Amino acid sequence: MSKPARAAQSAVTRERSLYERTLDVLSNVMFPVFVFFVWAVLTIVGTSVDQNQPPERYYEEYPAAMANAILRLHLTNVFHSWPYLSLVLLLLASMAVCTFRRVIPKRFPRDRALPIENLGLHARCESGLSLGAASAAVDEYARRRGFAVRTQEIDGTHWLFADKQKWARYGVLVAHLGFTIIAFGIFVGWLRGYRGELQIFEGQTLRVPHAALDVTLNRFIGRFEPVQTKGGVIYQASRFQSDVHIVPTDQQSSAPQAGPEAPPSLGAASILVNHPYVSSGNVYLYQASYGFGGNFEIRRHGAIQQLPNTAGRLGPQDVVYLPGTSRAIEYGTMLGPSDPSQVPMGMPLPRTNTYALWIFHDGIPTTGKPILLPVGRTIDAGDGYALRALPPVAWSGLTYRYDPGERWVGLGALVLSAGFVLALFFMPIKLYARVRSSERGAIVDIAATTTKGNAMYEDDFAALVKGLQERLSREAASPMTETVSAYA
Amino acid sequence: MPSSYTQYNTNAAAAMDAHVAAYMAWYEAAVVLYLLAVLVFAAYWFFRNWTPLGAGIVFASLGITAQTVSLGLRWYYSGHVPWNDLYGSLSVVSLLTAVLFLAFGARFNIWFAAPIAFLFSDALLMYAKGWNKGLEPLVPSLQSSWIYIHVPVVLASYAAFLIGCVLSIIYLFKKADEDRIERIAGRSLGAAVSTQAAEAGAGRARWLGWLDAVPASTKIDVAAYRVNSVGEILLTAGIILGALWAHVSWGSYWQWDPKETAALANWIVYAAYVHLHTKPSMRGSVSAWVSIFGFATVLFSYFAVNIVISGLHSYK
Repeated sequence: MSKPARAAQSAVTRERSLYERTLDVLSNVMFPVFVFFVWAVLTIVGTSVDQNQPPERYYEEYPAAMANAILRLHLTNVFHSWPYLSLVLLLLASMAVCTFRRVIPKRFPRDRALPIENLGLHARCESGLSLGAASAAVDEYARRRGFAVRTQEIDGTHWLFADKQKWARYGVLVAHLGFTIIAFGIFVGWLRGYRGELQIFEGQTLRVPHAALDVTLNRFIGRFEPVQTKGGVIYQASRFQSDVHIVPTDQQSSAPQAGPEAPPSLGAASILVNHPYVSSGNVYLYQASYGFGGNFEIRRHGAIQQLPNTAGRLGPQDVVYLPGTSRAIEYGTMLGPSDPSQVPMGMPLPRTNTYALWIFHDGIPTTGKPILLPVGRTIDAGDGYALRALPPVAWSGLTYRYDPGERWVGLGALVLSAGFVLALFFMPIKLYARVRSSERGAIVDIAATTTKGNAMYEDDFAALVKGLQERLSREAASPMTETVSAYA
Repeated sequence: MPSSYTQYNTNAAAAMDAHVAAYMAWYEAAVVLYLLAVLVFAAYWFFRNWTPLGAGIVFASLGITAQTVSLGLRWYYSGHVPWNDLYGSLSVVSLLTAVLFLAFGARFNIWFAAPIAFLFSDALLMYAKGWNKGLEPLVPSLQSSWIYIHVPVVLASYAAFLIGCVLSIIYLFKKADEDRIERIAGRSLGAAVSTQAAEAGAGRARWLGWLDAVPASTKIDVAAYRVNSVGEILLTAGIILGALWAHVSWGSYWQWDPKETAALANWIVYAAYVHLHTKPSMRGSVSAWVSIFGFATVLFSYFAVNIVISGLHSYK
């Protein structure tokens, strides 16, 4: 062989060897264990450290050194970082290699005579029965204990091969298959699905992006219950409900559809927490959040000023600059009968809806505390401006989602659970028994193997052997059985 | 739910106090009965016969009954499941620990762990008292049939992991004791135990005398594996059920909420445990430490996430 050819062959050998070595590493059970630990540690870190916050938030929450470490180590977005994703991919790779290299090739031991004494779990029973009677007793006993029994006569020795819960050895394979199906479902959802949020005010119509649906919020209902607690009265939410009207964009009609031609899942609907709306196209709409938009009439020297967002669209921390002045209004929140959950504990619930707001002059608050302005009342904002509180406008936060992979995920979850139960709860057992003649009758050697280690079956094996010994003794004490067998 | 709680009137506080006092009386009874069970089970370590064991099972069963009545009354008075807050869920974990232990004890013969398991169970129950806020209506996000199954399944997994952790702790003590005996005997462990019984106690702290009532460490390792396996199956089912609920409630199977990620961490650690246990050289001490670490992550996910880290699952 020429030198270049030898070098080429050597390179191929090295390459194959590296490939084989990689597969060896991936199929070693210690590899996923190691990855599991790194994954767990990163998950705990991601759980402990607030995720996806602006950098200043970390400096507020943690000492400077720790905040620096969090930001420099990119621990602010652990769960969507490439190292985290890589761990999951490594596990999937290891799982695939293990499945093909270890799980599928792993066969149940064949029925063949072997030195029983070499198996970890083995025992010997002696009986005064003849070989035939002892063999029949052992076979019958194993059957009665739930084993599937097969027998062979080899060189004058009776062999029994039996197994129990043989199907349980597929547990790992089924569990791995479940993971694969889940991963496929998530991939399909990521590829073809979409989701987002709609903030929709009462009376407003919005189009669900990607989906051919227009949603009109007719009414939002928030129900709160005053609850007597040890600390005083609190107002706890008991119901959030959005009454909506949903029409396909190709049927631009404001009237609710009716009659047999209307699509069954479209039209008027109520969306509640835990009770989403599902369109015929499998687009889900969920009740996610709510709020009340600040609604003000602003006048200057008696004339109404049309300022942006003031007509029922103000949200917390929204600022309205008053033209021609260095004044501004910052909207805080709305508290009152419509949303008593915003009332701090210890403060009486206002009888009418009331806005909490600040008025700033040259960037400085004009009051030490938020101004409470009940609906219907007017306040002088300075420089000729007057602010009149109008009834708030409720809005509902609706999450929309389309996930074509959800059925795969559901199926994968079922398969995974089944695999876990098979793999962890059941134990495949292979039983061997060898029955030989002896001077005093018969000698029965019995042994068992499991896929989970001898210790796992030790107690049950001891009970099995004890039961067999009792059975053999009972048979020996009852000669009628033998006589009848001989006659038969 | 009686309407008096939802009305802001002067009788509300008194009505609530009376009802809370009713279920807390049964709660106190359960605390005392579990404590008695701990003491009687501990006697089993020294007498090793059926009398203290049977008495311990009776006290434990009475404690379970008292706690079931307490939770039942809370359910009746509030009109919804009692595990809607930290008090309720801790109480259920404690109850499930007791129930599961009796089941595991009968199936895997792990009665030697009863004093420690019931001590932990009782400690959880006593700690729960500080979180009892009385009776409150169910928040909208919990108004779902899924609460009947998702929460108990996850809490049952926590209970199983607690028992698994107890077994792992006992394993480590027993293994250390066996190693010590082996060192003293200088020969095989079986011979040392059978022939050098008097010598076996030499060099061991007196308070560890109960270890003589504990079976061989390999058997404890097997029991811990079986119990943790049940916990892992329950946790898998619990996470899947939670994902299905989240799908109905929030529009997503998975939100990367702290409770979800903490539950994932629990699941990962116990997945590592069951994988590790397939390797004979990793059974025993290594597995025991992983089991204990796993339960530490369970405590993190249960307490830290509920109390310290805020998220969608922060129900105190």
